Amino acid sequence: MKCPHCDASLSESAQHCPACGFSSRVSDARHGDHWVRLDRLTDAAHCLRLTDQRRIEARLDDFERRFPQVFFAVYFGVLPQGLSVPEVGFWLLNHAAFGTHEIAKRNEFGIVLVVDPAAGQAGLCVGYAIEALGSRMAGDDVLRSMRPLLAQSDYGRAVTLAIRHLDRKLRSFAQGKPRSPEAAAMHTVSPDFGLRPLRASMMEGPDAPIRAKNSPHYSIP
Amino acid sequence: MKLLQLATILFPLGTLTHPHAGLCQDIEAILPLPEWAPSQDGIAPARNGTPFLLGGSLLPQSFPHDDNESGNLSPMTSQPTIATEFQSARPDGDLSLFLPDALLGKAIHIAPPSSPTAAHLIRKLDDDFLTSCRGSPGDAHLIDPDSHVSETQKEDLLRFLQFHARDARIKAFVIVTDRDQTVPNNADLSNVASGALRSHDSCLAIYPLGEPWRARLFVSGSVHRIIPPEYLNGVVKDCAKDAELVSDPMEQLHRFTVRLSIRLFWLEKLISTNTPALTSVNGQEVPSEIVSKRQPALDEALLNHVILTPSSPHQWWSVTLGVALSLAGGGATYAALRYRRRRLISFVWIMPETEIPPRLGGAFSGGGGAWIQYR
Repeated sequence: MKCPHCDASLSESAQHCPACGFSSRVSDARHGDHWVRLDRLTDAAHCLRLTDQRRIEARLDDFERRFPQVFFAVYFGVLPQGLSVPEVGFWLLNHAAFGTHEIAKRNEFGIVLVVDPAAGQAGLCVGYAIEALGSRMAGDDVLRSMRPLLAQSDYGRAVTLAIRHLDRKLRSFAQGKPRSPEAAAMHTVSPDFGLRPLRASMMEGPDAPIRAKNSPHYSIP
Repeated sequence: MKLLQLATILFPLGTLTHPHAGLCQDIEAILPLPEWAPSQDGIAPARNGTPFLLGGSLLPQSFPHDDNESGNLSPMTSQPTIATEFQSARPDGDLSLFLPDALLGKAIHIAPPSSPTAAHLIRKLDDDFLTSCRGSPGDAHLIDPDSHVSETQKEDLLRFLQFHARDARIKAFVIVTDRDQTVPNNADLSNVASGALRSHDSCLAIYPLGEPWRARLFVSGSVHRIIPPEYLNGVVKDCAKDAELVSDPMEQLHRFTVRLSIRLFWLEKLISTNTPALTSVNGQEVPSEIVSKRQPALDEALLNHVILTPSSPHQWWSVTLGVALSLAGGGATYAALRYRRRRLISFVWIMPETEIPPRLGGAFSGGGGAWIQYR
């Protein structure tokens, strides 16, 4: 495990980085501790073509249908100076409500791909539930397979390739069951934890205030 | 004026259509027509089918008529033979002399059955002949020092005997002699074909061309010790009897050689099975065990490599099995792909729930993951 800010090695239960002192509190102080809404595909850098966006959306739909607990989000953006890609991924997973079709998905099962086309950096940040599957899910090999396509600025194919790799990896850890209402209900979360109440309020209306009274990590911006 | 021009045009036309009588007489003197004497050359009557305008009535009776050539002017109904193309007027240039009669469309001349050469007329083979036989190479299975066999037939027989030698244990050598020649009693034949008879199990046939009943058979010592002489006598009689079914000497030699090859294959089977009792057989009385092995031996000897191999049932079964396995493999692959696709569509994958203590104060993520610099 490495620090998102300085890339130093961390222990399993470190509350702050021993090298740079980075923690969630420091990150919140820099970037804010408010919750943000984010689509599962955000192209703030405007580097994706429309066909690529549609193709990625279709793949993400298949991916989320196959893995009801897991979601995969992609963020393309030119990051400001001093902000690293892993740091953005860390902050997004802890402070973003991703607009997936399945509103009950918890961010613990989230995988966020952050790409900075200007800096030429790409990072894959995973939640605790994905991280617990083992070191194979760290994402090193996925990023290595994407490297040639990213270097050619073929971002659409790079993202679809990453989705395919992650799909194959996750299926090796998961248990396959026929699609049924019972199986769909298996990933429901307890009402006192996670983002379900937050998203439920989100789905009430596009401009409704984001409230997650039961979430201990929620704070009104 | 116009009248004068018209007369100028019409005058030459008149001279062309009505030639002058004096001019005709001059032409007769220069190019006289043949004159036939009525006493010896009557006008030949028109033959049936000959058009009058083609001159049938103008030819004298002494003219050499040939109904097949000049008289028959209708189109040819029979297929032309090569002879009509190769037979030239000059006898020394007639290419048909070099072609067999069958190819020329001629009837094969069947010689009347020749009578056996009298005993007092039979000549012994001289030393030069035997020396030539001994000096012939080991793969020359047809030995013909006096060139009694034509080149093409010799090649055919040689190829056949070499084919036999390739597959058979007992190799066959045939020495062709003249019809009134025989082997001297004290002749040493062990060195024939450069000693090939001693190095392998072999059979040597001395064949007087045209008199197959006087053919003699010699076998190697290894074969002779197992097979009784009466059986070998029956073999040579059987071959001679088969050769006597035809009258052409070359055809007799061919049949004799083929029959000898077949019998040597039978002999090989008998040697390999080590049959204890080999009674005397002749061409008409064949043991039942040999009769039962006749067809397989024939197939193996003559037809196996030529005809049966492409349509071998074993090969067909292999092809059928291969096609069936390919279809089964393709079907299994298709079914697996269908099942995988169905699983991908209709299955959901549920991840295990694992508790991990929070790290760096993050509620959902503790910075797990990786990043790269791709540019």
